[in-house]
Amino acid sequence: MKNKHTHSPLDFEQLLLSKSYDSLTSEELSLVNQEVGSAKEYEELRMTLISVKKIAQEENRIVADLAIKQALLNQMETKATTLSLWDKIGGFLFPINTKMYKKPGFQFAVMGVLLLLVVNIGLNEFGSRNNELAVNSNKKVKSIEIPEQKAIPEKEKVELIAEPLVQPQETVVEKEVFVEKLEEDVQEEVLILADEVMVDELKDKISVQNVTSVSEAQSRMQTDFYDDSKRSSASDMIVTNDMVLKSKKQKKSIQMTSQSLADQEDVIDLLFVAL
Amino acid sequence: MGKYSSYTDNDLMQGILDKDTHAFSELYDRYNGLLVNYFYKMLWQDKEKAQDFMQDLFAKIIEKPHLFDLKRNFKTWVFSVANNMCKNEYRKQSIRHNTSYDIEEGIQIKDTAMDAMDSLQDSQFSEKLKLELDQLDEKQKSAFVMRYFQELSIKEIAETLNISEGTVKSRLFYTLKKLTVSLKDFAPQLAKMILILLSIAQ
Repeated sequence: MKNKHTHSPLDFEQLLLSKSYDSLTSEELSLVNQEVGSAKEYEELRMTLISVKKIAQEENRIVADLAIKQALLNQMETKATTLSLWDKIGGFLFPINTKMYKKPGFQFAVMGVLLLLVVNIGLNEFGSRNNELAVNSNKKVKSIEIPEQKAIPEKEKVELIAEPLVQPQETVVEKEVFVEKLEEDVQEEVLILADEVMVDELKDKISVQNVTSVSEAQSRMQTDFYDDSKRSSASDMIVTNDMVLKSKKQKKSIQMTSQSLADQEDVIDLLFVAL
Repeated sequence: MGKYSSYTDNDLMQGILDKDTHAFSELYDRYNGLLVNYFYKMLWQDKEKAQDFMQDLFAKIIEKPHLFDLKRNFKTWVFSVANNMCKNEYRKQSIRHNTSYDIEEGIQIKDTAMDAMDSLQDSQFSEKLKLELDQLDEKQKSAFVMRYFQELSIKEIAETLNISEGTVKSRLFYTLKKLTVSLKDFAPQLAKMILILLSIAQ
């Protein structure tokens, strides 16, 4: 049985070129017999190989036309002299036979990406601050304008004095409206209590004080407003307005804090992405 | 120009990458003969075609020298490119195998072979060998031509064809067997003459 795995055709080729079947040693014969069935077949292979080698050596080799070389040289010179702008830029940015990280094009690209990241994060920071500023912008409180009162004739004055100047029921209604507004923003109980106290005080003032005219009463209210000790009782409307404003401020400050926290989360997320 | 003759093939390729015309000229001088004869053997002994293919190959080297990896052996690389060009040509020819071109080529070669029957024995053998080579499978033919006509080593053929050395040896042996069967009417007589001449010389 022929063992083709141990056979080496190169050695076989050398044997064919150098030795006839008769001059093979026993070791060489065993090698040859793995592939060749008989001495005749070996000799035929030998003759063919020798003939092929002889033909190959003696064969007239064709020679390329000189015009081909000239045409190729012209092509080479044209290519060398006419480098396009893109070739020059490309050659500068991505030189051949240079490691990737050493190529200027790659370095520029990395710098660009980093710059983009930095600018993006910076803008985001700036944007979040702007948001905070926008939240903080308070609306101007409309100043309470007290319309000038016309002079009241003496007869009407007497009637007015006879009747109570300010109707307590109406004031209570106004306070209740304010209380409803306050209920939306601040704690209910505290405001209701404050209002009740203020209403009582106002009632007391109106009943006790002997006011001669509306204008006097108003002027007194104004002076009381500017007097710290009496402000709370005299200018109940302003006080309640202030309280509404204060409660709104508290609400807005809570909103602002939550918003700034949300913005901080965005920044943290961006920093993670950048890393 | 003298200094270029001492350069290695890869040094010359580096020169071509740097647009050095002299480097290209030196490389062309080294390989044009080998390549044009390889194409000639592989492409049905058509001289015009062989020259066109050789020119195309060098034009590719000029236009796209960066395709060559400087760590590789240039000789095996250039022969692998040449071999691929031949494969493409075989493919083209097999697609239009019924065209007049093939018929004309075949008739021409056969006529030449028929005429050669009247000439000297070695020329008969040579013509028959050409015919038989053309009949070979592309894989067997390329290995055989590289080994016996271009005188590439087994290792170089293996690198060029991207196969193992054992496969190259095996292909060469079975191609020789095949040719022996088809050339048995011619080879022994020529070989006997060669052996007689060798014995006289000794």
